[in-house]
Amino acid sequence: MNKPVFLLALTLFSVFLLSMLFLPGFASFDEKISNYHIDNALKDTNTPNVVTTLVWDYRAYDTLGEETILFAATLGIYALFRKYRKKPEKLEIPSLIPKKTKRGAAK
Amino acid sequence: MTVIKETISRALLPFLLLYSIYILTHGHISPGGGFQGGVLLASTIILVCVVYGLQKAEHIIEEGTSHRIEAAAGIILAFLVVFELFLRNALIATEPVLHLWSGREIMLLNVTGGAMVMTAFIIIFYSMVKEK
Repeated sequence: MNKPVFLLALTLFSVFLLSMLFLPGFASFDEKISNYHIDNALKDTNTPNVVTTLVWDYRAYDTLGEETILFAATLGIYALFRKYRKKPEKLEIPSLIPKKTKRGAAK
Repeated sequence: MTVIKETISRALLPFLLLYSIYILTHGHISPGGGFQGGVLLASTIILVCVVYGLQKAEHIIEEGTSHRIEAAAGIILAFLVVFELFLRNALIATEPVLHLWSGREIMLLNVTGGAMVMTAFIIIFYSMVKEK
């Protein structure tokens, strides 16, 4: 199809796929950022619910993207269920100006 | 058959409404928050529409009003998220941890997110019911 866009998408896809090899294991105890979130959520935001602070405080821009997706999905569903109306018919109004035929005589 | 549905829904609707508002506003203390409370709020309107018909549900909230509320809530939510750092320093919390206003700006975000999700599901349900 579109050559440059296809190559860009292919490079991005391969970069994201290869970066999965460097992530830590499934249940490892390395130094991750989630340890900072668990330890300092109550001090930073004064709320005991860590999930709410992750959704609305530390990762608020992701929540904004989620709301955009929800808005687009709602608009798409509403657009799919609309009924299409036919075009209104046009009436021919006869005019008072007489039409001339080819031989010059009025109609 | 209709008598059973109307009796049960009449007894059940106030508790459903109150419980969904509780889950919405106590999002920073107990599990819940904006999205979950919004879905439960939409389920009250859907219950009214299923039991009593579309006319009674349109008395409560119409489709055009839902569109406008969703657009307004989207704009307010984007504004609140982008300027959240300044809001956190401005709304100073003087209450201890387990009060309703202890989350500072999280209460506003929960209410706006809940309104957006509620109107989204109402629009989806109305467009499915009105199609013939």
